[in-house]
Amino acid sequence: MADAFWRLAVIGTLGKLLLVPSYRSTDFDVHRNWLAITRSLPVSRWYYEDTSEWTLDYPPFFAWFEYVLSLVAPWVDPLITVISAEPYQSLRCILYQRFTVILTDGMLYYALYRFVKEVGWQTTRERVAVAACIFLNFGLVLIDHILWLHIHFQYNGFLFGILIMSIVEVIKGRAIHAAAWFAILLNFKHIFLYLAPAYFVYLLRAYCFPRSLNPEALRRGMPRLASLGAVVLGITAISFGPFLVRGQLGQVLSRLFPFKRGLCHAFWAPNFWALYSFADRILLTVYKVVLRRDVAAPASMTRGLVGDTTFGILPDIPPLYTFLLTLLFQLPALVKLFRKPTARNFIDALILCGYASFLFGWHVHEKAVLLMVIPLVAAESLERFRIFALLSAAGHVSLLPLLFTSAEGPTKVALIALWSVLTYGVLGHYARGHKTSEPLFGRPLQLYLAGLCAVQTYAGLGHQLLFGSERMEFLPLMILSVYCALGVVVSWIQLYVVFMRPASGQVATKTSGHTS
Amino acid sequence: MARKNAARVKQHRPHQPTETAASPMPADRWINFLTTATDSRVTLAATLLVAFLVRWAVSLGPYSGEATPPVFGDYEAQRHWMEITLHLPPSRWYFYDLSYWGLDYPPLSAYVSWVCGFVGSLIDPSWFALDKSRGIETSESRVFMRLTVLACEALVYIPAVWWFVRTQMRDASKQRKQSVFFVLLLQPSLIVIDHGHFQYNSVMLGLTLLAAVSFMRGRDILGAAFFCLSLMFKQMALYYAPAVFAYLLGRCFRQPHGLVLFIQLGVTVFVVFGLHLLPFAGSLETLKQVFIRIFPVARGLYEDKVANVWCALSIVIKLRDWYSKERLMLLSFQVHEKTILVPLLPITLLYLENPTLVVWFTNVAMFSMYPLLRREGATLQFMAMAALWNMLCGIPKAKQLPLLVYRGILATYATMASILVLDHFGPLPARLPHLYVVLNVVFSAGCFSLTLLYLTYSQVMRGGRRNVNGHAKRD
Repeated sequence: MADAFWRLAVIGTLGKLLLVPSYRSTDFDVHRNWLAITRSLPVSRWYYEDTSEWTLDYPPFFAWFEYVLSLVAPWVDPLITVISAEPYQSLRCILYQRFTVILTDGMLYYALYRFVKEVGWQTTRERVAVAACIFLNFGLVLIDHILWLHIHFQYNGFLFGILIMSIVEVIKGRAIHAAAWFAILLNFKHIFLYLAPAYFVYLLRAYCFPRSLNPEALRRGMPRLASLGAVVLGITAISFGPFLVRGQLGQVLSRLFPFKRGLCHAFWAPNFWALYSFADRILLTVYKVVLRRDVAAPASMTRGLVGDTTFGILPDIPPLYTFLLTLLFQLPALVKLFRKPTARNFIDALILCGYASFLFGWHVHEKAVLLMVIPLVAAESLERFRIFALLSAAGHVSLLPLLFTSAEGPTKVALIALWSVLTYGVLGHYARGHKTSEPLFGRPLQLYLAGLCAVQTYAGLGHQLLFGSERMEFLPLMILSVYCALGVVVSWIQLYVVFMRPASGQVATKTSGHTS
Repeated sequence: MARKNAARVKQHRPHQPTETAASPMPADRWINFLTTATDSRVTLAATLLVAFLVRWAVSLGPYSGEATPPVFGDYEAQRHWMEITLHLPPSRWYFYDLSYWGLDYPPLSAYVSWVCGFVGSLIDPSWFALDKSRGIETSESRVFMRLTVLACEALVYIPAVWWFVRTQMRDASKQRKQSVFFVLLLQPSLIVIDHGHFQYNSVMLGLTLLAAVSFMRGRDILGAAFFCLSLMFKQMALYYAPAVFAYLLGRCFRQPHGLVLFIQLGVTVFVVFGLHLLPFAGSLETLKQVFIRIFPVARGLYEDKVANVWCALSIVIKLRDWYSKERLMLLSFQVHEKTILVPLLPITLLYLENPTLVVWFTNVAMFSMYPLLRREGATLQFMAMAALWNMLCGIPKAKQLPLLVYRGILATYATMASILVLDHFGPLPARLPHLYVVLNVVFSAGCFSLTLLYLTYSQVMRGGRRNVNGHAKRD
């Protein structure tokens, strides 16, 4: 099995090498700038530097990570590490940055190797199938190597590798290790804070107070709680301590949590707010056309501006509401996890936390859908597989408009087609198990997927043929977002139902394998 | 050959690869994995998608003459032909501004160019505007040009390979067929030349392959028609002509109604050629010009593209006489780098019998194309494709091969690796600016000659034994 993993890793790497000349977004300049900042300035200046608009806004571990990468850079091209307001993209610079991503993806390969070994599929063949599907995960290839699009997701393979290492430790029952990995992850990239409630509840319940909650048990659990807290706080202290000592903590935090951005990202992520905005648009049209009332039209939302979001009819949403909603919808899953803290339930609760933050969070980016897709890929019953199919299809198609250059058109279509063939063909076969007479998808899911193909064809090709590239250019994006949002919301409800059902989660992960 | 009797003709079946001869390679394992999990349609879809993705990824890289005005390279030549065929009547195609990539491929190439230019102009007329579009390199036109190569390959070469696999491996398992198909589609040399450097060799090679498969199935007339199409697409197919000619002549002599076949073949050739040349038959001068343009001998070696034959290797290729299963044909010719694709096709088809040889020969062929690709800045694509090919086919293992062969393979690989490393990082003596290129050529030529010797030897041995036994061994 290790052999097969090596092969997969090498093939994946070769594919990425071939994709090196692809399109680069502004994220490329962002990371080039961070290499320059960390290399040429003392630590005390890192979070103050603003020559370029791409200021450092990730937690300190990520800054140190860039620092390590920048050590080699001057040998490749000395200009990489020179701070400049203008983007710098020499061939050597492109190669170097692409190579760093490819190399750090090794973390993901290693983490997946461990993950797949721990989770209870029976045969090597199945393990490799699951791993292959994650490896070839369309979203990852897309984002790390072609996209570099938005500030949030970058070096994703590496970061998801850390997340999966932490999940593996949970499955193995090593709570301290899991907490340490997750704390490290948070100090690399704070968007994973959305998953922290699941970790908190699980570690508290499964590690500190495993049996009951009477005062005696609480007292006996205290040393464990203390050691857990020490590990997490210690790691955070290493990360933020130097800035705290210098009195720069406020500056660092203001960089990490900017609230100037709007509710929705420039492209609508397929979440609840896309549906909300869409409903607002519909109501607006109804008011204008049917009721003939004059309503002040809001500043257009889909014009590609990262700014404030206002609505015409429906009430505006302040950031606090989105956090309250996120927590509210995480709560049922957390309660269930609190009552039955198994590793299996932990993974589900983690996915549901990801869902809640994706659906209701502030300024969510499409790429955040990977928070759910990647853990859910380990679906081992037909029911779960169908949820996974729905979510991943909707999530991946919603990513397609991010690659808008013509040369990437064939790449993205072929990648998603290959991904679908492998996932539905191979993974679906294992998910179905012995019930080969049962169709892989039910009728509604088939219809949804067919509709998804139609919508994507319209958005990718049809609209331009019908209206040209100038007129109503954001209409196809809106239709795509709304249609994908429907799929994501339905898959979320389905997973919640499966998770909350009393029978689920009784089986320990490692020993018993199939839960169906 | 003459001893062959009519009874044997009837029982004739194509070569069967011995399943034991081929040890499982990584590609086999991958296909096994897919086919046990799914039905063969899924496997086929995955294979085709991987083949497509690899080609497309290579085509994201640089091409011949990219951003090098005023002359550019092969890419601009092909695009220019689309431009002139679209806007001019056929009678002027072979006359128009010959100093700027004058058309010098046979008529079928020109017709295909016309189709591509026509479709492209529907999308954006500026890509092929007469004279004004020279040197156009917008990203959209580039994508379109790359897609035309893919479309031509998908229409001709890929079906031809599939048909070949189904014919040659009639009794093999589905999985084995799929994995050979997979490997043949990922033959790296053709990919880097067609989709990296930019040419339409896959059409010529695909048509030749269709001809060969037709012969294997005993459909001589169909095969002759396909081969004529191949010749009408690219004159490079002439290198195969002696083999095809000898084979068909042999058929005419051995068939009971040989004369009828002979006449049928003659009519076929006449009709195919005639149809292609019809638009140029308006005047004798036009017709003459077509031939003058197609055969560079007639116009001297003054043009850049032909003068670019920076080195002449003497290569001998052999084609298999598919009918009698004897290897019959040897011919020698002068080549430049890309012409290695010509012997590479028949040698690749030997994959079923001698995978070690095919993998090794492909590696040497790739190596021999390295100077060309390096000049274009496609080193990355070159390395990735070579690595992918060896990943799929597996690295030779000591216990599967005679020790001498194994050591020989390792020695050649080590030599090639050191020349590559030196070329990339090593010092270049000022007085010998082409040192590494020359080393490359000499080494490749040596390997090719060795291959020729080996193939000739094994053919003679096999032919000799058959003569003694009077029967083919493998039936």
